[in-house]
Amino acid sequence: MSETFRTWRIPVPARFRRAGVRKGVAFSIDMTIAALIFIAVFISVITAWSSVLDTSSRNTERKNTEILTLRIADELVRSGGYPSNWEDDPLSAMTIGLAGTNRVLDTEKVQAFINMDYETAKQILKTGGYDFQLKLINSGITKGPVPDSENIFYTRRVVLYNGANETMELYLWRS
Amino acid sequence: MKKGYVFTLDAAFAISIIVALLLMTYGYSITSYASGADPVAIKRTASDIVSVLDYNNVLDTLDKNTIESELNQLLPPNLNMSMKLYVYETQYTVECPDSLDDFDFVGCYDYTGTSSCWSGSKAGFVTYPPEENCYSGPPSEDYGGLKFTPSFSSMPVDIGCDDIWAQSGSCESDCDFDDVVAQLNIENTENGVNISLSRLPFSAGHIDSIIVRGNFDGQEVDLEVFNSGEPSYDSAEITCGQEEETEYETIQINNDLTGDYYTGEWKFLTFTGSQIDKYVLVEYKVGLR
Repeated sequence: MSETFRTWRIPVPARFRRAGVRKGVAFSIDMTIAALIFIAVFISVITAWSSVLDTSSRNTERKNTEILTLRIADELVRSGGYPSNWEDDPLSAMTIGLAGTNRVLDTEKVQAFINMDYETAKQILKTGGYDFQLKLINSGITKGPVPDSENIFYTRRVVLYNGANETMELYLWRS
Repeated sequence: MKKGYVFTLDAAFAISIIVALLLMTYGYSITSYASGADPVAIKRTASDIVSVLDYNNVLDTLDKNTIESELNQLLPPNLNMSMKLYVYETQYTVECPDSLDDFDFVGCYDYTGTSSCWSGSKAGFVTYPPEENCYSGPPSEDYGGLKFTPSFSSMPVDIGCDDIWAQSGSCESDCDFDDVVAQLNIENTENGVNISLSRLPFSAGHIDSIIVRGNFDGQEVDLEVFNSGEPSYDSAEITCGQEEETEYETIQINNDLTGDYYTGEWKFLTFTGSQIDKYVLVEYKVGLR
């Protein structure tokens, strides 16, 4: 073997020669470390991406539920419901509205709503499976069970009721 | 430097970029939601408060201290509002019709192709049974027409998407929650009082016709007719007096607003008997404390 050729050879460390390890093992160790790093990074990326998607999905659902809460509250304080005299026959109600005029709640409609079966009210309000609780704070009126969930959606409206200022609170949550 | 370090640095650099991108994406996905209260909710609350102040005749007092005191009572703990009232003094030589307060607006919606989708009732505007055809007779809920008696103390009246929303799950509306499709307004002009109903673009369908009908001096008069077609704007003018003078003063109610805020308007008239004597424009700003 010529001198020139010898200078291009990769010298095998003495410890490998002593242990009888073949030359290819050095490459395998590199590959193993690289593969481990790759797998670790890959798992991290997948996990993190899955978490991002999950968070995004939850945020979308939360946003939709917020809009639903606003829509129901708006319907309650700004409309009289349909038919407009639904309080005379609550079971005939297609939509529930509590307003006599815009943002002025009608006592008869409120009373009819309070007396209405909770599940029926949920259905007519189209809560989409969410439970609800409605409160007229100053009058001490409550309709629906106590919210029982980690994620409770809430909106507050200022209205007139019985000739006085009233704060209406609406809670939505999924049991 | 040994050859091996080149690869290691490249790899470290690539991993750092990936991790940074992931962290940014994750951070954005969290902060994009946790950006505070919903703007729609804030605007609705502000609108509620101004309307309640109007209904309670608090705004009519045009007294800064009274309005400020009532406003602060109504404000939720997390919100702050400031408002400015432009008070226009108006004088008329001819008295407006007595029936002005009992103005009736009638009409109907016809959702293209599927009119039965619409049976919503909001803001006292729509009472339209789905089985009824378009109605253009005298104001009567019995015929499925829209009967609308606006309060002149709360102008303009926004007719929004949420005023006409689909009852049936089979009928989807493309209309955004907070869109306004039409607006009823009233303003003073050189010739008197101008009442207008303006239509705004509405993607989910169209308002086929709205007949604005009023009773003036004992005569029922059609003030406005919108035909189907492209969004349009028109107005009907009612001269109930000759304006002699218009000037205004301002009442400013300041609450500190830090950060982002939203703006809105409210208009109302004050009367002496049946005569309009003031026209008030309220500009308000609302934001988180």
